[in-house]
Amino acid sequence: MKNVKKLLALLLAVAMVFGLLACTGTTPTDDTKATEKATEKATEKATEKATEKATEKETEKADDGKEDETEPEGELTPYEQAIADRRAEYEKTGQYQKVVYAMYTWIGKPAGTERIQEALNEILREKLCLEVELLVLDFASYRQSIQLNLTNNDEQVDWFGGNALGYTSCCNNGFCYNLEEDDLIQTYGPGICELISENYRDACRFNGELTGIPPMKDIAIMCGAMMIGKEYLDAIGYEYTENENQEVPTTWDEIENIFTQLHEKFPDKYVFAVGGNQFGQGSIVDNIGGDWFGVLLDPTKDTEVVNLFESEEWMTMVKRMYDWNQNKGFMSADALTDTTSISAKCKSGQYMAMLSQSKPGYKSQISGECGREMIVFTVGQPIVKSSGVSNVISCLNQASPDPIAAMQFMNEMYTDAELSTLLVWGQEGTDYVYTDDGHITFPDGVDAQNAEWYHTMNWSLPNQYLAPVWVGDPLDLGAKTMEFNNSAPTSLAMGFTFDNTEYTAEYAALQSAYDEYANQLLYGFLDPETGTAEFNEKLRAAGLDEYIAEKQKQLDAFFAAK
Amino acid sequence: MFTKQEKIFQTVSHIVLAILAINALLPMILLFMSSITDDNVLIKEGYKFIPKKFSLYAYEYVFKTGPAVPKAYLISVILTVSGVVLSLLITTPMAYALSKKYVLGRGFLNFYVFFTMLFNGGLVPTYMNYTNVIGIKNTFFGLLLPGLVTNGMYIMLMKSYFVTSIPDEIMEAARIDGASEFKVFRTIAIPLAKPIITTIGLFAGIGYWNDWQNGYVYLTKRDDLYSIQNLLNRMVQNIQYLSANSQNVANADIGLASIPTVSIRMSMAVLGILPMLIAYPFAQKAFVKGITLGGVKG
Amino acid sequence: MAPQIQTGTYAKKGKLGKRFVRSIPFYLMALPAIAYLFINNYMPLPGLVLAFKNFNAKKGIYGSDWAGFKNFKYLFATGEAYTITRNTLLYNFAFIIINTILAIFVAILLSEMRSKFKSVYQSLILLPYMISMVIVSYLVFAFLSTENGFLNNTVLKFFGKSPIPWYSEKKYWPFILVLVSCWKVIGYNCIIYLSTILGIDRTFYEAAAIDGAGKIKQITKITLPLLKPTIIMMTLLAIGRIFYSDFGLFYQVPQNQGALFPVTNTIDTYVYRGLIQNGKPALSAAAGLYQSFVGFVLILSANLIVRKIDADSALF
Repeated sequence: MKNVKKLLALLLAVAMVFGLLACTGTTPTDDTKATEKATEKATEKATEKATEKATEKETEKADDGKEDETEPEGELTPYEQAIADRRAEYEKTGQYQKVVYAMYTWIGKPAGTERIQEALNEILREKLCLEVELLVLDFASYRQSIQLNLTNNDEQVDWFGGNALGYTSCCNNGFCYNLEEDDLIQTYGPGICELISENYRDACRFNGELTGIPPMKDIAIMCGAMMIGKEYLDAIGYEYTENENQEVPTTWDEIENIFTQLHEKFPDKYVFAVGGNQFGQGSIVDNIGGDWFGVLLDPTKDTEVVNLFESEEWMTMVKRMYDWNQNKGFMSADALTDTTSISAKCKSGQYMAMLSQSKPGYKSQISGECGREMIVFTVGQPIVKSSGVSNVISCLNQASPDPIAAMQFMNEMYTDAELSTLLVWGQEGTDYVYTDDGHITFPDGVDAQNAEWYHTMNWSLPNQYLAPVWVGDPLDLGAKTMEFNNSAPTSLAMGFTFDNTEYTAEYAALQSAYDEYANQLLYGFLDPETGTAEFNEKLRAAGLDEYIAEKQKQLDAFFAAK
Repeated sequence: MFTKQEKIFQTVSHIVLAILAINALLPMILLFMSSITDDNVLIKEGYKFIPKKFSLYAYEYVFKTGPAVPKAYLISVILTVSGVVLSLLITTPMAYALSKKYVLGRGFLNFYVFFTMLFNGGLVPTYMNYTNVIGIKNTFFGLLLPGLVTNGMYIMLMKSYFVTSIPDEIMEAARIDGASEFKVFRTIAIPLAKPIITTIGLFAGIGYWNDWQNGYVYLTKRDDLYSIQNLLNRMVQNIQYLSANSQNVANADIGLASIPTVSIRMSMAVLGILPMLIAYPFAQKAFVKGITLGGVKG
Repeated sequence: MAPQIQTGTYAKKGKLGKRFVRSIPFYLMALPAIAYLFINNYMPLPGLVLAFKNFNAKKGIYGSDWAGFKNFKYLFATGEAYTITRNTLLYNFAFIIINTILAIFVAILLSEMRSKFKSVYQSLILLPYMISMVIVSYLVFAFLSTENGFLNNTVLKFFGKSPIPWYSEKKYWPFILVLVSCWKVIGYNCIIYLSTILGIDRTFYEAAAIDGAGKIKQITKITLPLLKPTIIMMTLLAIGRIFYSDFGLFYQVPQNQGALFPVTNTIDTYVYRGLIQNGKPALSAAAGLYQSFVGFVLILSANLIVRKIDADSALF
């Protein structure tokens, strides 16, 4: 405990010194090395892998003879030049360049916002000669406020969460700055480029332009994870063994077997809480372009865009659900109408199982949410799809007054452990304290409700894995997640985005048909054969064939360009 | 003293109105009862008039997480009162002017009002206008101004009342006595128009009390100015978002485990309308008194 | 002795100049409202061009490229266009007729009530108007839920009937929606009519009573004729909004149930579903303009007809 504190104090000093140097003229290599040291120490294993990789790449780059890495001492790299320019400007005007970072939370603006902002600025002023303003809004208002502001630009907004507004919509409306314009991200965001590999950056491209970057988070998904309450499994005496990821690989038939036993044992409870997109959670099918009208059935092998609703995968799924609902009685008759979230249903004790997607650390999260220990059974496989990369994304406003400053700010947020920790957890002592085993938790007298900086938005912030780990998660969560991302097979259409601006009429009609039939079929309320036939007829009438043809055309063009 | 027909009429009225009132009241009771039901029981058993397990936790939660609740109530009251007064100050004279058939250009003015009821620039242009030209973003006026004459309907309703229910003769007589048009308006027209002014005042009041949109649009950096409906709506939406996207939210369990996701919606609805219900009779009395006094003094 | 709508000496006559001078005080009275409406409604009006633009934030609303009528295409181009237009129109007709008749009925009952319960009834009937449609949708669900619903569990059980899966039987929904709408707005509408009735000179009724006219006769001969202008106005206004639908009523109350789409899908819900993912302001602007424009044309024609029959009741 004491050691950690000492270490942090040391780190702070180191960071300050290097920060000062950075502001007055060290090379970016030194700079990143400093951060490397800091991160290694602060988060130990968590980031080792990522940074190791970064160093490797750096050396490669140097070998390639990239000029900005090998420039003679004395002369400033563009990265430093930008800082020096801002310093000169600051000395003239006494005003720091401001970067506005629009965050979303589900609690609104936390009480500690100003304090954290000031703490960040203390570092940023020295290191980058700029100040950040945290514009914190809650989900309820974020979408509308930011969208209006991006349309009108009456207040400065630089970085915003594109996913909260709908990434496609942001791109279509021209809100986003092309991050590769004049090599912006290459020159001023080298740390980001190292952490977010080319492959992942490609997944964020829209019409060829890089309009956003994902944070460091779980990008792969383990599709088809069935969570069943442990107490119920114990009651029927079911035997299982969890693997090292706290998951139990199994099959749909075995799940059915368990459900049947559960249903017999607890006839008054519902076995299965359905909700959300039952198909998306249960299969590896890639709904390329963000809609279900034209998909890749086996995205790691096949590139033919087909109609999902005529596929065997679909029929198998809806038949099973129909059987579960109508014949076996696993579901509530209100499944379609009861909009209560599935985890709340499991928490109430009336439902025993739910379907979702798994990832490292998921077991403890879902168990907490459901208020009881849940066992994670997996029937699918891990996969990386474009949607997994771009479903949380940071975009830069096209009207940003100083894109260079904004990019440098973001670069630091991805690479500086101290900054990242401040943003994610706040200040030590006030917002969190270390436990004996190196986790962090609330200080005495602070809890989730009166905390001044406890937004749990880690996943939306640039690099949560630079920050310490909260009690309840494994200390090596970051490393595990990165490993999970890297080991999962990738969809061939990774990086493909679909531009449907010319097909808005078809899309509206298709979506209407989808909303009409999909859940009825997926929750087992409509006869699989006749229901699916009717559904397809309606989709055809809405222009599905043209839509799929266009998708295939754009996909082929995408592959050709690659 | 009632005639037989009158007696039958009264009885039938009572029966019909009582049925309607109960129809309106029963769901409200259900709303209230479900707000004091234990959250898990609510999910398990659905909404019941007599819940198996009572719990005030939803209310506790609202007040614990939202220390701003009393202040938001205060803002709502100030907003509603100023909104009603300002609305009426604008609507009443306009409606009165439109009711005078000899006013030159009356047809045009009528159309001017009517047109606004059908067409507006839409959210984005309205926002741009209020932000760039008028400059009310992040001020109290952001709550007050955009909803002031919610639509031309209030003007039209009041105009129609002036036309049909206030005989010109009375006002004409006053005019001949030498009173100015303004005096006639204040001392004769307004007191006579009490029923419609109260009605429009009530509508405007409900509108202001229930509005939560303007806060979202115009108060991006001043959520300390949020009205109670803003605040409650925000909590509900955020909780809904959280439970729908819990997969993404790190440590969602810590928050979610303690949130009564279903009963909280009900308790918020109760918190939203209850003060209005309690205050309504008193407000109405004070209001009518105000109009009468205003008329006499003028 | 049917009451007359007054014309008196304030009537439209006299020379233009003189009329103008006499009008000045009224212009002053109208000024605040004129100014406010100008700022609130007319200044943003040029923004309507958004509906014809290919909006791009980099170029701004006015600088974006023209799109012609492309943004409107999705409203007409598909087979759904017929269903959503039909639903929107039919429901609005039903609402106009049923809500108006009921509101007038209740208003008359309230106005004739000689009891201290009057204000209690009035407040209670207004109650549903004050809660949002989202909450209404939960309450409706409490009544109609298949497993736990009040109707299935209590009422139908009592009569020995088997439960009905309400949310998948579309035949009930036109009635349910009309009922819910009625329940919610009747208090509001009835207060409008009530205020007009309260404005009626009591001497008309006293004179009628002396003449021996009973309650029913008083209502048909005095109250209803005097309500006519308000009824016509309210109806005209409703016609102007006939292409609009209450989103909450048609989306939230039926819980967005696919099985009910054939009877619950309206223009507003269709637009909403089509734009969730592709939130382009230009597309929603196009939908709004289309709805307003049709309403505008309809209301102008209706007003023309009214003016032919009864000039005093026309809107303008």
